[in-house]
Amino acid sequence: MRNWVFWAVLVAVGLVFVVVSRLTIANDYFYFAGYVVLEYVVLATAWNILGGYTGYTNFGTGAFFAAGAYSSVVLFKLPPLLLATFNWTIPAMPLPVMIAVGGVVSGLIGLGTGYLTLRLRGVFFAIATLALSIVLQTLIVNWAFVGGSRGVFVIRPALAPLGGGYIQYLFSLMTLLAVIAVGIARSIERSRLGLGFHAIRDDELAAEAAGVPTLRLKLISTTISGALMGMAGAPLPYFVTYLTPTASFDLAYAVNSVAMPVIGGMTSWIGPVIGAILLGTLQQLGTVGFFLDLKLDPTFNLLIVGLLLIGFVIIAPNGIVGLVQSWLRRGEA
Amino acid sequence: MVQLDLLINAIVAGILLGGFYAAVSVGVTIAFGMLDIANIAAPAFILLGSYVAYIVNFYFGIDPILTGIVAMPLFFLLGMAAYRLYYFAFERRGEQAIQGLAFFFGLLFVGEVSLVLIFGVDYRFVTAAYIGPSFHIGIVEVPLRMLVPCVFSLIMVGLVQLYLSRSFIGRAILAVSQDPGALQLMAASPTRIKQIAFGISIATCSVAGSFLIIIQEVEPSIGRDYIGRIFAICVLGGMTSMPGMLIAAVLLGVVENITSTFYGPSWSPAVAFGLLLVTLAVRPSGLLGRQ
Amino acid sequence: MPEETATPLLEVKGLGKRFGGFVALEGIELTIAKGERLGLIGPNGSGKSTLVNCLCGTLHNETGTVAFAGKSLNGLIAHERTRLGLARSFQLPKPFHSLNLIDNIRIPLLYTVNARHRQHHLSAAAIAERCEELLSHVNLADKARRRPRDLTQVEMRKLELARAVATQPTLLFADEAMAGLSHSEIEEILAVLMRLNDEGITIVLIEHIMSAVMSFSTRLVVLVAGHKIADGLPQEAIRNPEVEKAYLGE
Repeated sequence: MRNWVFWAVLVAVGLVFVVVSRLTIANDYFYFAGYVVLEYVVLATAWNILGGYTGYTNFGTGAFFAAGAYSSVVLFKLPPLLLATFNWTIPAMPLPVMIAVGGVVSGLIGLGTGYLTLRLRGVFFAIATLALSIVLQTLIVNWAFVGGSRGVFVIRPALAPLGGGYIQYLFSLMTLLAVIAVGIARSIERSRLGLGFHAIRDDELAAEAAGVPTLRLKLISTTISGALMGMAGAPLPYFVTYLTPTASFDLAYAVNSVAMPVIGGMTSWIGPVIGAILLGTLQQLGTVGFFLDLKLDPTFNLLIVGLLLIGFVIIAPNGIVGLVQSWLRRGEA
Repeated sequence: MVQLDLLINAIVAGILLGGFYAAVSVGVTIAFGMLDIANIAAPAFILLGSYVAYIVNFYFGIDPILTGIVAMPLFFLLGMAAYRLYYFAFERRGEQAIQGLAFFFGLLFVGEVSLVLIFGVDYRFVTAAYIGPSFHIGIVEVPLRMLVPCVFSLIMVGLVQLYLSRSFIGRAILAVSQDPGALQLMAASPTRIKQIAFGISIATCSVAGSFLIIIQEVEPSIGRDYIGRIFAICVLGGMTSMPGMLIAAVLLGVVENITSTFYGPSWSPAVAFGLLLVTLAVRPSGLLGRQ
Repeated sequence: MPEETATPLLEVKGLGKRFGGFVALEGIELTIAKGERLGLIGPNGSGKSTLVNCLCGTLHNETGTVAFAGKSLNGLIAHERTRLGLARSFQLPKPFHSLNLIDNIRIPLLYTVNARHRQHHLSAAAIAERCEELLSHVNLADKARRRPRDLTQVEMRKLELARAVATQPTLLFADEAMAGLSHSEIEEILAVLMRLNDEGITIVLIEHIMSAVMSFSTRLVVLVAGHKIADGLPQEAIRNPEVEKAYLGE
């Protein structure tokens, strides 16, 4: 399928999804849960661009995600601050702008971290991303302007664009972000850039010897991945209305964004999508007592995710996509 | 004058803390520095040691360090089993590093979450004769809860270093870390040696865990703070050198404690990680891929 | 037949490389003329691969200068040197194992050839054609859509060479491309290298297999323990007493 055709189909699917949901489903919970699942589609896809395509593991999804969330908090608090300090009036920033800013901030963080550590082996990059998560969390906890450890309240605008409730608006935005993320992932997959990423993943030394500017490509990969994660985090303050560092740096984001691509399959754009939808939905259902009427503790959910991650990494390293592919190949033989 | 008083005590406490940090890092120095296995799940094993010491202390009143030492053989076997699994799944297949890392990350995570589910998020602590009292040398206060683990930690690191440099298996481990091929020529199996080495690495976590719960109250999520500390120490210490690791550990302990005393404890996790990031950026010698 | 040209293609002066306390190379002086077939030999651990790594930018030499076609290479990293025209095959083949053979060849075409000359930018169709061409030159065209894991040892070596050749090099380092191969397989690789040399590529052959080196090389350089101990016509270099001692008088 030509790339522009894919984009067209993707946008169409997204539109249909949002419109049909809005027309048929009134239950607010669907939009809450859907938002979370779509959020994971973005995070898993973003992770996979650096992880699955380029071969560099990022354990600090929380850092990029929370950076997006907190940049929105700063922008939210900026108008009252400017008014109080300088008597300037600036309009409240619309959420799409905040999303863009969140993307830029997290993209820059990705670039910075990459620049510091990507000349070293992959394992040091992975450890550095863990370090980044903790450092950033410590900084935020100590920053009173964004609420520090006590958290911050964010008030939703009275009127939601596109009619309907605010949560439906957030849901539509996140669908758009998911469309953008998946579209970007697939475009990369089919491009010269993607081929370069794969070469780096397969054998960085050989790639460099073949003329691939490995450092530059790795930085591009880290920036794109980080930016998408930041964009996914930017609407979070409006989603939860009360944001704390613990919630936004939650280890669940780090583990899920690793587990979903691993379980779904890291070689293609569809793996993270499958992983996100599957695991995300299961976790949401588990929390509301869908399984045997047991209201599963979110912690218990995460234990299952962790075990699945370990299991898949050992037994089916190419994930569900890999399993399907080898099943199909066996059918052919 | 008050500042100087505070500073000196902060330094002394930092040195003691550093001694403890050495115990925590010796396992990863073996696993990562010598075997090239990035065991980021080490904090999970250490916490396991802490909770084992807690249970035995809570129900039977037995000294935690004693528990830690007695539990070492069990942890050794656990480490050997973990290496078997790792070898079977990854090293043998020559899989990409990403899956090995994901494996340990999963292990770290499953460990933490399991502890939360079993023990909850409340802080746990142990009781022992040396937890509480401290003695004074002039203006310096030396809490026994820090001194005792520090002393035992130095003993343990010393014993490990002796073992590695004097015993046959120890020297084989050092040989394997430099040149696996050479070992094969000696008709010793590198896999078997690595398995033993990783077992030792995890065995140290048992004792380190008992030190941890003596020094501070423990709950499952504190493991994450230790990843940064452990790897910062390992990297700063030059990856394979025990003396280097010891110096790095003390250095980190002192810097962290001074920061904590003068700027507040909420900054201390960032110190180790910040130091790690800076070291990785500025002094990458020896880290630029293995020859 | 090596040509006498004013500027040597590669000029190495005083090159040295240490690993911690271990001196891998010291004071290496080397000149390579365009069109030569240079053989580089030496016992295990003498520093041959280290030298190749330093010249190609995979490793960084602490001392010495390297000039390629008159241009200093100091400070240039590997992919920049490849783009200038230095190519190498790896001792242990390093294919891109998740990509098929065509894509393996496509990478150097996209990232070296296309990055080099704006005017000679190859279109997607031209690239596809060139991939097929390069693969058929090493008799791998029938396995074009397979993955490297489906290849035999000698086929992997040929892929390795094909990938290096795809970068359109002026100077090619063939690092132990023949180790462990049968006699006929060695002949096959030698034939490929000879043909490349006829097409104008200067070749440095790093090898242990003496018969191959002697028949192929127009000049021989011998490294022992990080030092160059002989440099001249193959028959003469071989009879150098130091060389004999290094190889026979252990």
